[in-house]
Parts: sequence; structure tokens; C-alpha cells
Amino acid sequence: MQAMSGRSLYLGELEHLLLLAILKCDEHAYTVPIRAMLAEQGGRRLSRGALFTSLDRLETKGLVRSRMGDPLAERGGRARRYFEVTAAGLKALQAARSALATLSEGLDAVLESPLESKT
Amino acid sequence: MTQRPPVSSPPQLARRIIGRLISDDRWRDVALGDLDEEFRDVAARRPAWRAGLWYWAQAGSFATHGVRQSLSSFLAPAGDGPIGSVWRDIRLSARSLARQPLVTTVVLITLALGLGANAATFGLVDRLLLRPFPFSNVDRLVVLSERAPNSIGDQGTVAPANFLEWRQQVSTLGRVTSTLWWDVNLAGGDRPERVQGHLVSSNFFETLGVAPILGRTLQASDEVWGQHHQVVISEALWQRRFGGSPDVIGRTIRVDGETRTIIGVAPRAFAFPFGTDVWGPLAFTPEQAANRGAHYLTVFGELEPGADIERARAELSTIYARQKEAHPEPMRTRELIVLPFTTAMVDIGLVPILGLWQSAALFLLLIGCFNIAGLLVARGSDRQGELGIRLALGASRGQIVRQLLVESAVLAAAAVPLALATGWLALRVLRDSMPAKIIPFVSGWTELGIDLRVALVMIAATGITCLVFGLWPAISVSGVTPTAPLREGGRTMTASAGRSRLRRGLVVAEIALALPLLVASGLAALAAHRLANGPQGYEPSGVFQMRMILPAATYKDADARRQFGRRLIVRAESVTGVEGVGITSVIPAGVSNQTRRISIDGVPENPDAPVEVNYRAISSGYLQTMGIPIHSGRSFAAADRDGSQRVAIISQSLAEKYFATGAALGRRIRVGEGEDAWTTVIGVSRDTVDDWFISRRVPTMYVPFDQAPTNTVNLVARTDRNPVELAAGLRHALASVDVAQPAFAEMPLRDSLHERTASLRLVAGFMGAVGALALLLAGVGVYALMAHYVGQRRHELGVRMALGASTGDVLKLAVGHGMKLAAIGIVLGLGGAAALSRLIENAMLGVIALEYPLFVAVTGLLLIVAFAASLVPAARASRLDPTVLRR
Repeated sequence: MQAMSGRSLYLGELEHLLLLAILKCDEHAYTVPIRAMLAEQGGRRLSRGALFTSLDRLETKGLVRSRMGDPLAERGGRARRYFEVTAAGLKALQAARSALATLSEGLDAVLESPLESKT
Repeated sequence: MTQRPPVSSPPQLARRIIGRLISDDRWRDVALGDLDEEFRDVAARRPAWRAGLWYWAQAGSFATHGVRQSLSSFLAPAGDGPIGSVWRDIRLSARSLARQPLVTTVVLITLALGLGANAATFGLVDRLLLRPFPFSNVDRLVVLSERAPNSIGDQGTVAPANFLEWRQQVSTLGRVTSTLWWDVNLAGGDRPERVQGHLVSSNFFETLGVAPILGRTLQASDEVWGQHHQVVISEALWQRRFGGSPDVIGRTIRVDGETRTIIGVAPRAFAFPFGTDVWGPLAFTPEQAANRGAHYLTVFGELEPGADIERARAELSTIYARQKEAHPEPMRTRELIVLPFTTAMVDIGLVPILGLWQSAALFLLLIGCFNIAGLLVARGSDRQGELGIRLALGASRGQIVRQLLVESAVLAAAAVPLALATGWLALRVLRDSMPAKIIPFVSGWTELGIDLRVALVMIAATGITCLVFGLWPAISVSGVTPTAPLREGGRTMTASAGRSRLRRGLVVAEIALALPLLVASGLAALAAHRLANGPQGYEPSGVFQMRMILPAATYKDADARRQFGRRLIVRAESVTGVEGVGITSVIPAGVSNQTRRISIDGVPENPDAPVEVNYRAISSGYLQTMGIPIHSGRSFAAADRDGSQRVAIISQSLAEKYFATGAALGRRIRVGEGEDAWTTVIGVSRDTVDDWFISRRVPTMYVPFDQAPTNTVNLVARTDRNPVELAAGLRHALASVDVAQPAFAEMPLRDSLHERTASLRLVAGFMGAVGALALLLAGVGVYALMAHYVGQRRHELGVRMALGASTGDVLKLAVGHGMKLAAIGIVLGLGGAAALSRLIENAMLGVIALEYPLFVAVTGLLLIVAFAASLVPAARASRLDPTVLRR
């Protein structure tokens, strides 16, 4: 729980989802697949502008870092921007997850019974 | 996926727009790259147009994202400084106002109407009174006039000899110029035309700083008598008659039977004075140039640099005193007046009308403010809980007042554009409802609108308004003790005594303000109705009129004019449908007047108070055709002609003023000088209303047209058909007398009367609208108060009903409360209306006096509205179940 005391590590819901999506995309984590992942698996349709703003914010907080790829013909000679979760980002995710787990303890009956479990 | 069709490229424009929308270079490349990449996919699966559309949608998404970003950064709290906290208050207010859409809407509509009415009236005052003339040097121009006391329709104009001397002698004025009314007939072309002209001194255009768009304006040599055959024409006339042709300079034009050369075209929209189309040089014969007794010039000049109006006044009065000493007789009763141009040239009748409008608009705004203040106090009472908690949590009273004030300011700011739009619309309606014929006489009318000046004044007025309706409630509401609302479990039993006193006071004030406003509206409506439909002293229905001005070049002497009159009457009488025909030099509800100084045989003359009367030359059939009865004596007959005994008919008012009852007949009156000017009174006629504003029951004298033929001839013909049917026949009759003579003002007399009263109908319409709004606002005010009063007393009413009070008792209690307030307001309002009555009568141009039935009617109307407004909430309360009320 001590991680939660750091103010910069506090995660908004969208930030939380974004970090997870980046992790899931792994080495293909550039803007297009991240946005697609968020829409398909996170249920969040984000405008490109909002995506860029949020990624910028995560980078400022030091939770992710980015690098430019090589120029590509199908992008009109432009490069892709790849994202990677930093150690701090990972820490924040873990903290949030453990907080969730602690809080959810003993609530299985409530949280699971009425809904079908999702994969 | 196996065989990809050829890929189209994204729309270039959309791509460029997106490029512009993203300011960060790196992100711009990423965005465009992403879109290219995805576009290939989309284009592979969909037709090209769908892919294009998709790309455009992405551009749209970037745009909305951009707007939202900048908005939210704009709305973000700006730190903890004073600006930041005001900003927070504004956001808080916007949110709290949005939570009560009904109150907010009512307040916004009230402000839009109240401020809009003021924007419109201020727009009028600004354009018509403060700066009606567009000349760049208008502040340096002064008008000089010789005023004569006791003259009818005091024009205060100047005699030629005096003007000519001033022009040479005055050093404080750089240029002195003069104008003279000059109605002209334009001949040639397909049809003769009557246009407005003015004869002007050669330096007229330079004095006003106006340069021609074609040719030249007048020069000193044009002013010499005998060489004065030039004209400058207006741009409008140039387009209308000459198709805007540039070779118009040097062409000749027949003006009043004279040939004149066109030397210049005035710039577009310049038509000073009074919609002038033709300016001719003002030249004087030697006799005219020496005349000091006939005052007919309008004179104005431009102050020399460094001189002010006081110095000009001082210098001119010295000159004038010298002139008076040298020529005592014609100038004895005159005095010299020097006034700023705008003051002198603005129609004095406008001042009381616009004054009335502006004050009516202010009253309306005040009523609106009281209404809004009442609503805000009520809202504040409902928010005692919230505010009490904020105080308890450490907010200072100042902070709470500030937040409440900011709420008012947010409302006011939101109302500004609405108010300006309302004002613009009101001015539009006003502009369109003014008859085209009157517009040239109201300088500035065509420029009416909401401009930056009006907008700025309105914004300032809105600020003050906001304090009026916001400060009081804010202070009153913030006077809550932090614990009181909490102790009572968040429910207020009754509003604190001070607050409800304030609200009651506001409603009383609203009614007190609405009453004089309604009285004024009622008066305006009555006056307009009476003007158009009331007794005129003659019978305007069934009469057709047309006007001719006989040019001096064609009709050189009295005999030519006399023959024209006789022949015209004979021809007109034979027109089918005509039952009676008459001619007159001046027609009621016309635009001109004629007055003469008279002497009465046996009444000593008082040189300081000469007797001046309205003077008309009429044919023998005129009085009968117009339906003006003879009270005693006889009307003119065919035998009263040139060479026979000179006779006159006088109006009742003239007879009463200077003769004992019934003693006027047979007495003699002299018009002008000389023994042959004596006429004998043979009849006394009923008075007529020639012009409701300046000449009602003005002593009037009629002489036979045959004995004193004038060059202005108004033909009137009576019929039992629709008078319009006479038009063609009368025109034909005129053509058979003189084919080159144009006629104008051809219309039924009723229509002419209607036109003359248009301005008063406009006043009535505006006042009616303001009165109706005031009544509505006062009604809403009473309703809101009563709804709140009943709402806050549900508990008490419930107890009363449970204890056996009937529905009627509850109704009586609640309605009685409302009516008591209305009664106090009405008493105060009646006092106000009585105190303002002189002002209201003046604004109505003395057309109508305050009348008690109107007071009674207005009082009744207000009582009914107040009754209805209190009954509805009271009835709702009395229908409720007592147990519900008590909960």
C-alpha cells in the first residue's frame, strides 16, 4: 500500500486502461493498435486527439516512455511512435491492482454472482 | 484480402486541415502517419467516397477535440489569486444557474426585453437627437436666426439683407451660408415630376465639407442675379432621371419652367436639407438683397478655428444691435439667436417623444430588475441551507455576497447579446413602419441601428442593471446565520422577516412603476386614435386631393393663376362621380402653412404683439366640399371675384378672440399694408384641425382665391364613391388645363391624414408594446411572490385547514395578501402618474390631456392582473390535502 501514497502514481481510470493496453500490445505498441485494443477489449472508444493527450500525460508522469520507429512508405514516409510502460508505470499498475484485490476481498458473492464472467 | 484494388489517396484538404489542427510537430507526424496507415485499410474495404468521408470524419474529430481542449484549459482554475477565485465563482455560478433552467430563462427573457427596449430607444436618441447629421464638422457649425416673439409656428428665419451683411462682417465664423426651401417641377422626360429642392448660397457645399462626385458645386459667380441658372443634382436623381450617365454635366433641365444647366452631382446619400434632390444658387434681386422685413432664409456658418459659440454670439449681437439701430422698424421685435447646428436643426417635437420612450424603457427595465431581484431573493431563501453550510464551513459573508453577485453578472453577461438582438429587431420594425414620405424630414432615420456606440453604452447599462438587481438580494440573502437553517433541519418555516419585506417591497414598487407607464400607453393609444378618427372640423372621408405649384415662369401674374383656378374648377366639376370641387392654398393635414399679420378695424395695434393668423385663399365651393360648416353669415359665392368688394370668412376661434359674440360680421380686417388691403368679414366658419401638433383651433382667415390667387393650388373633390376612382379623371382635367403642370400628393384626404398621424401611431405602438410588457412583468412578479409565499406557508395553511378553515378561508387569506400589496402599489403609482402627468401630456404634444376614466381603467386592469396572479397559487394551495401541507 505504500506505493499509493505517491501522488504521481495515482492512476485515473483511462490511464489505467491505457497502461494495460500498451502492455498487451507488447512490441507492437504504437498508436494505432493501442487505440484499437482500447476499443475492442477495454470498451473505450477514444478519439485520436484524446489518445494523444492521454499518452502525453502518462509520459510526463513518467509512467510510459516513447520512441520513434523507422519511416514507412505506407505512412507516407512517416515513422510510428512506439510506447513502453516504465518501471514506475508497472509499479502503479501493481499498486492499483493490489488495492482492488484487497478491497474486493470477501465480495466475490456480490461481484460475481449476477454477471456472467468475462474472458 | 488477396487482391487489393488500387488504393486511392486521402483527401488533401482534410489532410492539410488536420496538419493545421495539431500544433505539436511530433504528434502531427504520428497522426498523419496513423491516418495514412488506417486509410489504406478503410479504402481497401469500402468505396472511395466512403473512405474519403471517413478521413473527413477523422478531421472533424480532431477539430472537436481541439475545441474541447482549449475550452477546458480556459475554464481551468487559474490559480489561487483573486482572479482565480472569481473565475471559480463564475464556473460555480454557471453551474448553479444551469441547475434552475426555468428561473434562468425567465431572468434572461426579462433582461433581454428590458435592456433591448433601452438599446432601441438609446439607438433612436443617439441617431435622431445626438448626431443626426453626418457632416464631419457638425460640432463646429452654428445656426443663426432672427426670432420673432408671438408668431405662429415660429421658424426664426433670417432676412436677406441681414444675412448678406453678416456674411461680410462676421470674423468668428469662417463661412456663413444660407438655404431656402424650393419645391420644384422638373419637366422633360416621360412625365413631369415634383422634387424637393433648395436654393443655397454658393459656399453651402464647402461649409458642410461636401465635394461633388461629378462636375463641380456652386461658385460665387453663380450667385449673381441673372446668372443663377445652374443646378447641382443628387446622386439619387442622377440615377433615376439620367441613368447615372457621366455626360449629364452640361446638360440642361427644365426646372419650374426655366432652363437650367446641370453643373454637378452630389455624393451618394447627401440630401441635406430634408431629402433635397436639386440645389440651385441662391441669388437675390437688388430689392431682395435690401429686404430686412421678410424672414425666409435658414442661415448657418462654420466657426473659425479657435473661436467658440460664445464668441460668435457676442460678435453677432454687436453686429445685430448695430443693424437694429440703423433699421429700427422692420427689426424692432426681432432678436438674434445663435445655436449649435444639431440643437437648432433637430425637430423639437422629437425631444419629448424620445424622452417619453427612453423613460418608458427605463421604467420597464426597473420593473424587470425588481422582478429579477424578487426571484433571486426567493431563490436565496430556498438556498439558505446551502449558504448556511458554506458559512459554517468558514466562508466569509463577503465571499458569499461575491458569489451571489457573480451569479447576477453571469446572467447579465448572457443577456447582453439577447438584448442587442432584441433592440436591433425593435429598430428594424420601427424603421419599416415609418412612411417613406416622412423619412427625409427625420435626419438620421435611415442610419438607425445598433452600432458599436450603442452596444458599448448597453454593456455599461447592463453592468449598472446587474448591480440594481443583484446587490440587494445578495446582501439580504447572505445575512443568514450559519446555524439557523441547520437547526431547523434544512427547512425554513418562513423566510426571514427582512427578506420577505424586501420581496413585498419589490412587488409594490413594480406595480407603482407599471401604473404610470400604463397611463402613458393608454394616453398614447387614445391620442393616436383621436388624431386619425376624431373630429377634424372637416369631413375627410370621400374627398380626393391633389396639389400643384404653379411655376412663376409660366404663371407670371395673378390673372394667370386666377384663370388656371377657374378653368381647373370647371374641368374638375365635369369629372364623372364628382359631387363638389374646391381649391385652396393650404389644405388641412398638408405639409405647408401660410400665415399673415392682420390689423382689425377698431382694435388698436400693439406693435409688440402683432396679430398673426392662418391664411387661406379658397374657391367658393371649398368649404362645402370639405364639409366645413358656416356658423353665421354666408360662404363665398361666384360673385366674390376679382374687382368686387374684398371679403373674408374667419374661423370661430378668430371671431371669439377679437370680436364680441356675433359681432364679427361686417367688421373689417386688413391683411398686410395699404388701404386696399381691407376686407370685410361676411361669415364665421367652424375651426379645423390643420395639423394636430402645432395648429389646432388656430385663428384662421379665408379669402376668395379669385381675389388673391396663390401659386400653390390644392384641388379637393368630393364623391360618394371610393375617392381613388376620381384620380384618373382629375389628372385628365388638369392636363386639359395645362399639360406641363405636374401634380403631387394625389391621394384621398383620409390617406393624407393617416400619413400625417403616422408618427403618433408609431409612438402609440411603441408605448403600447412597453405597456403590455410592463403589465406582464408586474403580473409575473405578483405571481412569483404569491407562489413563493404560499409555498413557504404550506405548514401554516395546513394547520389552519386541519383546524377547520375552509378552502375559501385559505383563498381569502392568500389572495388578500396579494391584493393588499397591489393596492399599496396602485396608490403609490397613482401619485407617481399624477406627478408625471405634465411630462406625459408634453410628450403627447398636448394632443390629449390626462383623463380620469383612463386612470380608473388602468387601475382596474392592474387589480385584475394582480388578482389573477395571486389566485392561481392560492387556489393550488387550498386544493391540497391538509396533511400534505403540514408535512
